Amino acid sequence: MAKYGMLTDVGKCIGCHACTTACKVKNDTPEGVFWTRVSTYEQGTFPDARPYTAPLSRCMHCEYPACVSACPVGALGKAEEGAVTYDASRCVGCRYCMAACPFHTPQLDWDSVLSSIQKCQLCADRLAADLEPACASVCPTGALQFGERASLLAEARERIQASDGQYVNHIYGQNEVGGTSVLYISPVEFESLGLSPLGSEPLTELSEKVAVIGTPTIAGVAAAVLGGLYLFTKRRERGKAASTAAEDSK
Amino acid sequence: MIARTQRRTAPTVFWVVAGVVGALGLGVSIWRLAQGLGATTNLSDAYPWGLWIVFDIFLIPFSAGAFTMAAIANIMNKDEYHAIARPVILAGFLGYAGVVAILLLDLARWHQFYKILWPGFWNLQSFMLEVTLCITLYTIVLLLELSPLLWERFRMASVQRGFRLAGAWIAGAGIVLSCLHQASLGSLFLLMRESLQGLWWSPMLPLFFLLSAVFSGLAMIIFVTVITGRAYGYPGSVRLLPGLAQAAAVLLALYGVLRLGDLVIRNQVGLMFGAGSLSLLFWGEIIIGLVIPLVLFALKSTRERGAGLLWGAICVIVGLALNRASVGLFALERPAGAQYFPSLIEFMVVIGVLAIAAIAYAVVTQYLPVFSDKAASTTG
Repeated sequence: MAKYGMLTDVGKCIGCHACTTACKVKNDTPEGVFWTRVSTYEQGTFPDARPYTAPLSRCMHCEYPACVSACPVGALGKAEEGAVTYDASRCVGCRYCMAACPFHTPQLDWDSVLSSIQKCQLCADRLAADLEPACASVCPTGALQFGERASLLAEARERIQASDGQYVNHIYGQNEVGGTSVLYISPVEFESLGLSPLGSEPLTELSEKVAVIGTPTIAGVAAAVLGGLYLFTKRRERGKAASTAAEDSK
Repeated sequence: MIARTQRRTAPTVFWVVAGVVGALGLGVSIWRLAQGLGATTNLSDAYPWGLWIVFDIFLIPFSAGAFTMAAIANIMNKDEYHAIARPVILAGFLGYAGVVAILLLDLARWHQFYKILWPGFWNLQSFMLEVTLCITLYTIVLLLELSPLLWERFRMASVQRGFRLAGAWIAGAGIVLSCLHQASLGSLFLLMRESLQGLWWSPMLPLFFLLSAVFSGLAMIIFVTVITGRAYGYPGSVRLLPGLAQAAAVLLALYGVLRLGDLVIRNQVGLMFGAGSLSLLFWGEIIIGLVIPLVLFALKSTRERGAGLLWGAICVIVGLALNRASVGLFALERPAGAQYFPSLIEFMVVIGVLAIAAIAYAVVTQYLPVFSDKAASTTG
């Protein structure tokens, strides 16, 4: 099955908010909550300052999502096509996914009484109907491009090359925390857009290894040590009792 | 017996203050469930976890006194410790009951909490799942360990005999469950390699959390025994404490060596001095929670005196609080400009839970044979 992704070209975004609006309409998100929203970052100092815009701080749809690994009840899942999806009917609201996400993207609709997690689902239902996600389908400049992740990576490399050194020579999301489905290329440093430098090892590896190996080990070792100690002290006591009994009978 | 004649009820002022604070806590808890998290707490997307989580990950290792006690009394069969086991296990149970209550209040979708207990929903790779299941089971184990209080009080001899036989098994199950969830509380933060600051994030987090739970448990035993000894005129058991303090000193030293060695191996020593307020927090934790109690517990002259024991235990507990607050709140990276200070309701819930636990402790110790010397061998 094809792995989908989304290429965000910060250099091409004109800040029109068509994606913000299309997403809000399509997903009917609660008041004040946006699954994708154009943000503005100012670069340089006056009078040479210029704003950069892009739909940032949205779900990156990690290849190895920490949130999915974190969720105790399987409310978050990783679809084969790439989307990290959320099912409120399973969610207990512990917010471990929010704490675990290295991009700080899952949100909560705090104003509801029974809040749920709010995050981009990569329009899984539209994909099933052979449609692009709402945001990409309305982008007038190609700043948001939906497609297969592999071909988007090739496209991103081409655009960086064609920019003649204008773009940072890095595709953000290609390797970060093991790779993400959402990719960014940009003429300004990623960190100044709020995209922090991250290691390329998946976050989930260590935690899942400890869960699979560490947990049974701790249980086994603890049980063995306890059993041993218990038998040892019992035997010693019996020995003591026997010797005092022997002394008494003398 | 001395214990029996000197036992007395708590002063009226205690009942009034604890009663009012507890009732207020209960009231705002219901308000929180009815109004939602946004309306009642200062949590936000940048601070999804706050005071309540910190309180939980502090109270759980604090209550570890109960499992440490069970290990000493039942598994190592050190009979003399049975005399102080019951007050400690009672405090441990009330601690866990408080944790469960606050965890429930912290769930945004609390109406579905039961789903975490249902195997069909389980994600076995999630440490949140492991922690929740272990805590639930362990709270039941603690209740079983306390149940002889009832069998004794109401003279149900046959049940009492049954529990005496099962005692070691129940205690054993409790110890295994405790080792698991104390370590798993640390494992919760393994996923946060990128956001938890290097002085605290480590692949050794599960071991650090387990080890610190054991010596904090010992500190809690010392604290509870000295305090109840003074409050209830039951000083006889204090002579058992220097041995525990000595064991705590060994574990504190081991923990210190591991923490330091881990920082050296991971090449994070520079952060000890160059990370501003976080460096300060780190040194506060090390000096108050490690160095001072290590000295107090290691020296014979201080660990054999009530004041030395009490202050050593308090330092360990404060150090534990600093450590868990750093891991769960202060040392986690946030989006620029984000701020958090707990709301009045968040504080009222925590203080209310403590007040209700104190009332429960006073009531149970008054009506059930918690301090009975005869209790010794039947403590499960």
